Amino acid sequence: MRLNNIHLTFMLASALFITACSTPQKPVEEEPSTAATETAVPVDDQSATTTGIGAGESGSTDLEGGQSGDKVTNIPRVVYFEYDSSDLSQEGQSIVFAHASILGQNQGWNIVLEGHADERGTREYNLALGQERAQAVADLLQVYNINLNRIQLVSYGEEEPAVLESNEEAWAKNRRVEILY
Amino acid sequence: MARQPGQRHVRQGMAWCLVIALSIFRFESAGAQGVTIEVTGGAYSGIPISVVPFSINGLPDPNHQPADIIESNLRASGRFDVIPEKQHLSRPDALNEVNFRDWRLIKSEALVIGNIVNLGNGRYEVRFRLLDVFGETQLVGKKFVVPENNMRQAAHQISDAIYEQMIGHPGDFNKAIAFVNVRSTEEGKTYRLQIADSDGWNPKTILESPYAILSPSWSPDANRIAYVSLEDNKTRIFIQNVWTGERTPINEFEGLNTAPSWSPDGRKLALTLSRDGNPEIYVYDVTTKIAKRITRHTAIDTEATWSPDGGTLIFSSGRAGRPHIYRVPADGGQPTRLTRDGNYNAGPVFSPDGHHIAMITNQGNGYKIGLYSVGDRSGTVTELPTAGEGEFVRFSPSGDMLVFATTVGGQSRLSTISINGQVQRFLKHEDGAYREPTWSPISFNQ
Repeated sequence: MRLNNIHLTFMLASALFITACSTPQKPVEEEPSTAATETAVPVDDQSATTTGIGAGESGSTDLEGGQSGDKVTNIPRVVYFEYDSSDLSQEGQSIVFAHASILGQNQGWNIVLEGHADERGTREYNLALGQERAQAVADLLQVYNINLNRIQLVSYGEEEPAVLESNEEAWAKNRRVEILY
Repeated sequence: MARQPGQRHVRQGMAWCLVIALSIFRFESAGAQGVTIEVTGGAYSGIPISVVPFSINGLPDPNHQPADIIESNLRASGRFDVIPEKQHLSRPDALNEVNFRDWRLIKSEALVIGNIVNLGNGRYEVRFRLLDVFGETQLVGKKFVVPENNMRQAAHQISDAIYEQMIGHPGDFNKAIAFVNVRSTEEGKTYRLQIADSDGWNPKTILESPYAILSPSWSPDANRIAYVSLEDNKTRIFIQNVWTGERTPINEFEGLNTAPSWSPDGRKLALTLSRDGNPEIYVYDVTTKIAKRITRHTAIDTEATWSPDGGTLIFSSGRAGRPHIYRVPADGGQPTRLTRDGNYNAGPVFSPDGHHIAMITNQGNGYKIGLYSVGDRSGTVTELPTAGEGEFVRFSPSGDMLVFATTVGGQSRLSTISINGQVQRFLKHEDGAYREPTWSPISFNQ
């Protein structure tokens, strides 16, 4: 059920924040995990306007020091997918949540979601698959109250591989959505 | 490693231009790889025919010996068993030199002879005769006056004339193939939409771009090509006039704008849009610019192409979990599933007679060319025995061959295979990767 997923997501996201905070220039703080847990309730009742902000406030003190464009580089920018699938993994969901937290407190930032596929199959089917993957990330961001009009989707299909090789490892890295803002 | 987020934007920040030009290249450089043939389906069962090298009075380039071009074409069709020159017992170049007994002895049903005369001023007269060996009669004979750089075209016209006489319908050789060539350098990729002879010779670039070009589709009159361009961080569909280079975007819709396919009447494009949430099939009227939605499903629907009568669309859909081929009335309705074999069937296209559908299929042996017989309720897809993996497939206008992009040894090449699976021909290529070939529907005299 969605409730369980979201709780799990939040826990994973908390872990990510802690990881993010443990880099040298970013002192470790205790709040992120607490804040993230607290915000789980308002998300679920769908009425929260402070969802992302609640989670992000503690994070923001860490992240403000970064330059524009590098603001959130400690959160993975890329989520990966299984072959011929646009379902987000648990890890992918937690990454999207982490970005939603940042985006929730930076309402002026617009988001580009680039959907990609591995090289197998037809180029056109892969363009559609890239679009579906970007859409899956957009749908989850929307669940976290990120307005769709801030999000631009673009599919590159198999045209812009991250890794220029033809093997399982490369394909796994090429089936992805890049979250850019 | 993953590309840095800003990288694409840096590239896009460069002043870029689209170079649109006709007839700018004739690639005939040294080291260029020629046309190669592989027999894929065991012994030939075609019509035994002999093509005698044309006698040449001053033809400077032996690459353009018409007999070689004709022989390669006839073999590629899978309908002829071309008897090798070393078995010929004589070498006539005119009717009064032909001893039919020489050709009966090597069981050649038909014989092609010809000659080339240099008329001066760069003009040549090419004559050929197609002879019935057992009937000892001439079936067809013609002469052409051509400039030297049209020698190959004359050979393709002769091939078509022989084909029509022997098989009963015109050949596909004096028609063009459009495709995408991609070259990579440290500065980035260059995509070229090119048009070449049916054997890959004489490529001409009609569009050059730093952004991906995909899915070329000829209009039925062969004057326009629709395609997808990934410029400006979007998928957009353009229609380009092949002759003038004029390039017009079609109406742009929110989200995905991909997979254009001209209707047989030339008035509409089937395409894929995601404006209503996920990739669906639409029919776009080129005149009114209105897109009508055809499919409704939460799974991917894409790659629609038309039946020859324009009444039906076939497309690939993930609605059964894996991509399979479906058909739907072109004005909308309930889709019907066609393929059941394999775990990946996509990129479908009807044969010109409407009896078959070719596609990319994966049945556990990699991505191959598959054929489905229309009306087969078992959903069987037969793999063609191609060398290399398949990526995109289209029929020749006669339906006797398929042209496709294939990867062999890491190299993306263009290839044809005869519909009977007997002969695969790799087209001439230059540098870079080759993608998405599609045969011009009618003759395309350059």
